[in-house]
Amino acid sequence: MSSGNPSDDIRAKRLARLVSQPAQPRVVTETPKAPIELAERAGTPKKVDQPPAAEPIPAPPVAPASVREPVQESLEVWTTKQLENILEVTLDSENTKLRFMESTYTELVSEDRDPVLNKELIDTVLLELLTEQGLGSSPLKYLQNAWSRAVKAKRSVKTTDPLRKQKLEVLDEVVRLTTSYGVFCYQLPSLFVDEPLLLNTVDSLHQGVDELADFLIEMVNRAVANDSLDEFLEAIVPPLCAKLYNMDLNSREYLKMVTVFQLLLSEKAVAQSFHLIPGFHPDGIAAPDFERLTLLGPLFRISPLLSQVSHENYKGEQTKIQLNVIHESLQAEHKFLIDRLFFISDKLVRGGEASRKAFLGYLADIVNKNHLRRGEQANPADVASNSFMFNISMVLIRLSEPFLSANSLKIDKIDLDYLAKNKLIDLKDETRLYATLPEAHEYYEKNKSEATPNFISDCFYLTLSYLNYGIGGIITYENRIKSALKQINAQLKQMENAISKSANPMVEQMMRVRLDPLKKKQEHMRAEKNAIDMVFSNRDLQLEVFDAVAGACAFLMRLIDPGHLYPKSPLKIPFVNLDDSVGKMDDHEYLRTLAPEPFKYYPEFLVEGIVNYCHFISRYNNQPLVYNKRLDTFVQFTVVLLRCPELMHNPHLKARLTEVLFFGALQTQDKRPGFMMDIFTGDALVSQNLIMSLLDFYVMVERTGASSQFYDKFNSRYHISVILEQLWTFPQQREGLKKTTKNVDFFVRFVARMLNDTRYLLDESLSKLTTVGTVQREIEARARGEQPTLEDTDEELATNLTTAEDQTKSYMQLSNKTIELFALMTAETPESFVIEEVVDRLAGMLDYNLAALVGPKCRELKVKNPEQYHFKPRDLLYRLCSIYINLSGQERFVLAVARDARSFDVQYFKKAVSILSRYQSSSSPAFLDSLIKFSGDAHNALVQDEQDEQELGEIPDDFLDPLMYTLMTDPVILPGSHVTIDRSTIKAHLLSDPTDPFNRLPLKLEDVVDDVEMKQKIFEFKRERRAAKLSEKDGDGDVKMEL
Amino acid sequence: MSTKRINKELADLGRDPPSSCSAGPVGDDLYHWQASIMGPPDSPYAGGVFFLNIHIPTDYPFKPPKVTFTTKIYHPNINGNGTICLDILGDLWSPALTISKVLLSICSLLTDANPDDPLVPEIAHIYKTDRSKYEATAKEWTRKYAI
Repeated sequence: MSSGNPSDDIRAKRLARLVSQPAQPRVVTETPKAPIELAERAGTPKKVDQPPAAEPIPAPPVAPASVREPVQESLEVWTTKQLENILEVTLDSENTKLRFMESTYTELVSEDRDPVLNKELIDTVLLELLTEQGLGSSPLKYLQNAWSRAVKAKRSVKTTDPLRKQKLEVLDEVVRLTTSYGVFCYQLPSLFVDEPLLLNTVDSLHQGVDELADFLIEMVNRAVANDSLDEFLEAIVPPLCAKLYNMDLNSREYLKMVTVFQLLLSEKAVAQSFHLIPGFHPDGIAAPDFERLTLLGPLFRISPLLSQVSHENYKGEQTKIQLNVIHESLQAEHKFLIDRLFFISDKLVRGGEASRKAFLGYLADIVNKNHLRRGEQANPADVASNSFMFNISMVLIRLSEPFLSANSLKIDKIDLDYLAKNKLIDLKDETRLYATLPEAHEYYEKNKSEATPNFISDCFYLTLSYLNYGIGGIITYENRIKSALKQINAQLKQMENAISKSANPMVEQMMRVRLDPLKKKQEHMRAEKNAIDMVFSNRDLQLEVFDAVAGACAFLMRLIDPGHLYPKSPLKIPFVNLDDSVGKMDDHEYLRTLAPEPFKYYPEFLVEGIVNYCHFISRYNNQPLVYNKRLDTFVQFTVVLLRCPELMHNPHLKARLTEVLFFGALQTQDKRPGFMMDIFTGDALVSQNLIMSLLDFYVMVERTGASSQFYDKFNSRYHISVILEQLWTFPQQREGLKKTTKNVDFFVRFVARMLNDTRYLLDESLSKLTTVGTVQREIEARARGEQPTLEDTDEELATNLTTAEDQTKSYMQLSNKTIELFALMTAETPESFVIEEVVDRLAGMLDYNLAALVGPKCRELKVKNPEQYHFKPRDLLYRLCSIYINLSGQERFVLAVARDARSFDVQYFKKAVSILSRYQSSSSPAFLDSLIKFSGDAHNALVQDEQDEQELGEIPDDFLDPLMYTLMTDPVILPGSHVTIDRSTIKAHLLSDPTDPFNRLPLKLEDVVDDVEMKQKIFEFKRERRAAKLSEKDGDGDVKMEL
Repeated sequence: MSTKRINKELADLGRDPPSSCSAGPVGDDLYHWQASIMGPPDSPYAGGVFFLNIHIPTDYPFKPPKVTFTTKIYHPNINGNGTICLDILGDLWSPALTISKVLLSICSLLTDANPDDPLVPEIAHIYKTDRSKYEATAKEWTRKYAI
């Protein structure tokens, strides 16, 4: 562009071009329309050949008007009158009302021509007026007014007028020249005498956009006709953008500014060349600078999410109702803004291939440089703002609507092999779904394609990038400010407490100094959080986001589908049946080999964005998943990922998915089934695979690899328990579970995990409860003035109490849920719970907790307000007892309970019966009878067992299991450490730890070797001892006989 | 089921007691032990006697015992509640380990703290940046709470 040339050159060139331009026929808008409507009108005026220059027409003899009857005015008279009226100038020196164009007059006279205004003189007089005489007011305003008078005059030329054609030619010339000079106001302000008054022309563009709209469009068209559109845009757009950057949602000016952009871009010519304006997408812009240093930046940046805007909108504290009122008004405005941003973006996309490419390249550059937005520690100053990223995300979601919406048949237009062609999105450091980075790079090195992806594909993958780094970035940010707010609130509370307690004014003074800035920070963060809540509870917008999410789920299932036919034909899962080879389910190296191509090389963020979004949005009341007719697509996708371990490894994403299912399973407040229950039980793919998926993940979540894995697993398992519990009400699902238990290898892993958790959680909750009780009693005693029995200070006690209370609450809830699940499942399939490797631990756990609840130490569990900690001892006791009863028919279980030397005691069962009969209405007499009978059976088994053991006497160490010190019954040799151990022991160990306990090397059950020799020795030993005992007894008898 | 195993551990402890620590059941509860550790001579805990609580879960030895300090101690891997951050008490537990071995590991944790996997980051920071200050505070606490 020629911006660097000396302005004089341009001026000369422009002038030459302008003057050489002919009048051209052009239809000008007849009636002023609403800007948008007007903006829809497309079409670039075509240059026409210059018509032969007209000879000056001699002035006709002036007829004495007063005498003759009024006849039709001559064209000349009409022209002069019109031009005087429109241009407000005259060549008649007598006319004092109008400006006299002296130079033109003198020139005409000197050339011996009539000094009468005509079509050919329009340019000359305008030139004189604007560049010699000056107006003393804004030339732009003058030109606009003249233009609109000309347009109006055109309308009043009657269609029947015989001179219509000639008249319109005159007026069109005015239109052409006023708009041409209008363009010059921006491009060549130095041309004008009133140049200083043109300094603010850019301001007048948006400030007066309502009046100026038509004229602006005309100027654009004129610039196009004059072949100077690029220069015109360069003159107006960058300053407009710079102005816009200093506006925000709370200054109403921004609306007008957006209108200007809409107006401009609705001209196809502008849309085509917008990307050529310097500053559209300069090289080397850093992540946070796009919104300031690129032309579209300030436009996409505006929204109620912008932090300074949120501070103003949510100043101070609001009640819930007030908050909703603010939310609603901002939501409407935000949606309207996004409508308009989409309008602008859509024009750019439709502005031809070059424009589309430049626009997508621009959006890609932004997201490529903003990966840090998903980083938990990212400094907001180093990345693009939430406001900017959200708006772009929404624009892309709308651009994707035609191929991601429910009824779209275009989903198959999304390239399945996009990664081979991708030139837009930076994937070089992206974690892949189930491949290492070098593997992915190698694959694409081999399968590289030079083909250009279609727009749909570029748009789709960009949208998903923005879902993760744009919207996902907001989610990351929200999590951060939420926890920061929590800290600040606690700090504030502490400080305010200290102030209220302190009698020292100095201390108070000092505290206040720290208090005020903290309060300010709190207010700011709360405002930002409110703004984020406002955006995510904007149901209209979120429905659009979820619609895109559902479309993306459908596409990803299509990608996973071996024949890539989904959704035309349903998916059949599992693709690879691992149900009978449980060991392979968590063998990642093996699963990696099963992972489908090219899916496994795809970046994980495709799934991550979807998962994080659905997880986050689920917490809002009016969230889009509820009763959404595309929810089934999302649930199917979730079940596919959970059911097929070869698709994706990331346990965190699976945990989140499980949590979303949990939200969908939760009963509503009025006890109606959760909003996903229909899909859980009605959708073929989901209902057939859900239970298996959940049980598998229950096991897999044991090790997530994160530092928080220990807590993560309890949370996920809690979610799964709730879903299973809800599924329980459906007989068909219970049948499904029964089928699953037939696969013993698979099911035992689940039982073992559930058992570990129950044991751990009950231990923790009861011991924390003990702490709560102890501390409560100590605090009360001290309040009564008694001597302290604990070392801690009063403050320490208070802190200890809060900590223990919090822990008790969460542990107790978790353990209640596992115990509930245990009771449900043991009722359904008791035999699955008494397999060799778990039955002893199960019995030990039950006995121990029964003892804790009714044994001598049960007083330790006494606390004030037990319900506050979700501790309902009678319910817990009842559940424990139902598990005993559910399993009482299993001989192995009875024996295991009996052999648990630690806690088994018939007395506890009697105590339990007495408590339950008094306080638990749900325990029927039959229930209580079976409990008594069970404890009797166990006691008899114990007596028998003790007898057997006595018979054996001292056992040689060699025959004892090295871990349990019990006599081995089925000794095996571990291949690595060569230790002989009982099979049941190593089985039990391998359930939670796949290594040899003596050397920690990997170990599989199928690799252990029967120790035949040892087995024989033990057999011999037992036989000898029994025989000896028998003869001893006989001897005994003999003695007695003798007595 | 773990009764035999625990009796065996107890018998082994009685037969061959480790030099720096002792352990045994509290009262007649075989599954609740108390232990004591002598502060290692080459550590700031020298001269102190530290008491610990040991709770043996029902799935012992497949799961680790729960061991906590009841004596206050200043250490990057032991917090104010007496909780100990030690790998073999968590993920690296093996049923081939015993309570006696756990106690010995705790002894060596007192000599060599692991500031890179701290339970109390503040102490770990001081440990790393100002060792003499750490030692002084640890000695101070030992004198105050463990002698």
